[in-house]
Amino acid sequence: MRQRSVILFLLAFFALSSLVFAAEDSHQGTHEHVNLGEILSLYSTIPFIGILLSIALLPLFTPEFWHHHFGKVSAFWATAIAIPLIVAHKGVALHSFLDILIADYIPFIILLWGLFTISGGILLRGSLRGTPIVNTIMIIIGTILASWMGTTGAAMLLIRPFLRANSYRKNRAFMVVFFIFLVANIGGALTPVGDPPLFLGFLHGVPFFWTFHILPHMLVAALILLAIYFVVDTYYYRREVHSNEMDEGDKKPLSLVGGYNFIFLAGVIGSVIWSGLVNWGEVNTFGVVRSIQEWARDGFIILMGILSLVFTASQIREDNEFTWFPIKEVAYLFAGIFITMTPCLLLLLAGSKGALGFIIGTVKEPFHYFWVTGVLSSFLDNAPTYLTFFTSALGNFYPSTPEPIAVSRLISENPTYLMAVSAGAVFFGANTYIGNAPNFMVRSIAEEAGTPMPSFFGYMLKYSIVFLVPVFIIVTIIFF
Amino acid sequence: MKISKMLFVSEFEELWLDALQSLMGLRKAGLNHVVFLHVIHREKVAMKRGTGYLKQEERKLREIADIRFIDWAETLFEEGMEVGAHIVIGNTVPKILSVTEDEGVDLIVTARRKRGKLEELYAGSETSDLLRRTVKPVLIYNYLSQSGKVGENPFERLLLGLDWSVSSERVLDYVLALKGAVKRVDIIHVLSEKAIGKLSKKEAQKLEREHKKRLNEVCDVLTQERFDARPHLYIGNTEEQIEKGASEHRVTMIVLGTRSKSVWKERWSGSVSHALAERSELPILVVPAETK
Repeated sequence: MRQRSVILFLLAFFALSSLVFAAEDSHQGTHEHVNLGEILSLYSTIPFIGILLSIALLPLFTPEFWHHHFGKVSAFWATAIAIPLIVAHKGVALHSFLDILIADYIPFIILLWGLFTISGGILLRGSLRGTPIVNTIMIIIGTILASWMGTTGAAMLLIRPFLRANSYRKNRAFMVVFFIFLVANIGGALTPVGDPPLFLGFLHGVPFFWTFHILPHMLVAALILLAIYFVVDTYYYRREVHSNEMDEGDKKPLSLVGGYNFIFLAGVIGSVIWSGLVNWGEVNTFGVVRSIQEWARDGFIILMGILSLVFTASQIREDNEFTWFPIKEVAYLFAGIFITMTPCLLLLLAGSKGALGFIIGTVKEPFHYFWVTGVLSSFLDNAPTYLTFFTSALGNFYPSTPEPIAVSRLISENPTYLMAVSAGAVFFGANTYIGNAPNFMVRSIAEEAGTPMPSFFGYMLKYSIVFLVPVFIIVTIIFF
Repeated sequence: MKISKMLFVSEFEELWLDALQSLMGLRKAGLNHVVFLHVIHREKVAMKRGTGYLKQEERKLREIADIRFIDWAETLFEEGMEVGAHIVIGNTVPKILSVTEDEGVDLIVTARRKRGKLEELYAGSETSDLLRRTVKPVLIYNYLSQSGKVGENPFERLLLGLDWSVSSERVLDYVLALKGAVKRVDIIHVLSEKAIGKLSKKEAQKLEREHKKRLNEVCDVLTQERFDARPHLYIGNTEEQIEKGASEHRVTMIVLGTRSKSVWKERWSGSVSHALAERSELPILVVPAETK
């Protein structure tokens, strides 16, 4: 069995490699000083599509296999593109991979690790009585917090108190679903620490506070969803409350434990903002030029995470049921995602000269960007989807222009496109359990606590299509 | 101190019924109640990217543990023991601590436990974590070889390591409570080579005499209680000398005390008992400080 898997792996690997090789052969000899984006073939995007589809489908259909082999799946797709490209284009390809790993992957994972570690040290004990008003207020607080401690952090902080408060209620599934909509997704739209795609934008030159431009979009979506939630919750509450009153003894005053972690959280946010404001010069690492303040920011975030680990009692993390598994999974998967994404981004940056020119030709209007980024973010990971269409917008308006200049011109001349990509990537993550990492974490915690959650398709059919899609149509009509 | 209730933690990969049966010698020391604990790691059933929480898998794992515990319990019932069982979802150490507190056990029996590399980096192994956080004695019990062979009576010949601290006194009390289950006790104290090196020959001889005297006093206490006790003074690295002593005197278990230390302090200055618990091939009984 094991032998057969190895043989299958090697066959698939060589088949893919030969596809890429065949396409690159015609360009042999021209790899010195070439723009890879202009010569790479469409085949070079197969590993990227493959890894995204693997992440979307394998956990659904072969959960056991996925749980034990996700690292190998990621490594397979990464090597399937990295080896042939480096053999064919040597230094140019190697530099592209190093660039994305050093400039994007490392800071991206460090930020996620920092936020995950620090927010895992904050625990909200006690329980309120889950009335429609209390529930709505909790969701509002979560929505606000999400932009400042990350959607994962806010969702993990509040989901257990939210479930405890409503443990006496009969209909709870819709509550958790709206919690996912708002706290685990839409709430993270305002800052680069709110949701991973926005941090990727920040790493590529979008100013920290620029994302506040999505505030009107977020307010419209959040207010409509909150109003719907309040109405639905009130309807069920009135039907249930007389038959299922919460035991007074179950109510315990809320108390925040590990609150000092908010200081470390402020340190993380402060360091991200600060790194976008100062200029300490640049340093060359393995041929990749990166600013010193970015390295300093990464170091500072690691320091904040370590301080959180040192000062937070292990009891708090245990009560939070904290495990490293989710961040480990993200670290393995994103290493593969970033490597496989490299040719895709190069093709898009080349604009109409690249093999993905047809996307740039098709996706033209802001609402195209909003919906295409969004629909893909619903099923694939929203961070690479964001970067793909962010790059696509740059390729569309400013082909072959150096990225810092192109980003700054996009922000000043065509900001609606960036807003569409940002809002699409963040908002649509709520459409499925796999659209954003905290979605499945919240689902798992709710199910473990005895809340019967809808199935994968039930979630989409009963909730996303009914509530989210109309809201996104309204956002499109108003803003795009 | 008494040993009437024991918590036996098994994940069915490292401690089986034969290990449990080998501990039945403790009945002579008053053991009459065994509580089984099986912790289903949360990662096995929760936080699944595609499927959320695996309720069916949880049910299956509970059922497997249940069947095994019922089988073990029947064996113990035949010997007139009381038996309880807990099958819980979560992380091992906190669950051991909470069941220990709920059940009021006198001894925790568990296997050596490792963690993921990242977690070990900041929290140490699960074994160290448990030893640091519990006030109850812990028996770290491992199979002596890959084939899964256990000694017939691990309490038969003890190597009692003493450093004259408060926790040493507690260890001695605990060994006295094992009367009936233990045949022989080899008492060892290890003098640091470094400390001896700084002294003149006369001072070193004086120090040696003092420690021998203390060892003899402990020996007398044990002999009065009809233990076959013998004192040994070693010089050198404490961990190495204890292992050497265990081998020379062919003991079946090492018994040590441990002081209360924070995780960072422990990682900085080290702990003999924790280090031995991590690597000793013999079962090791660690009696922690009374307060944490």
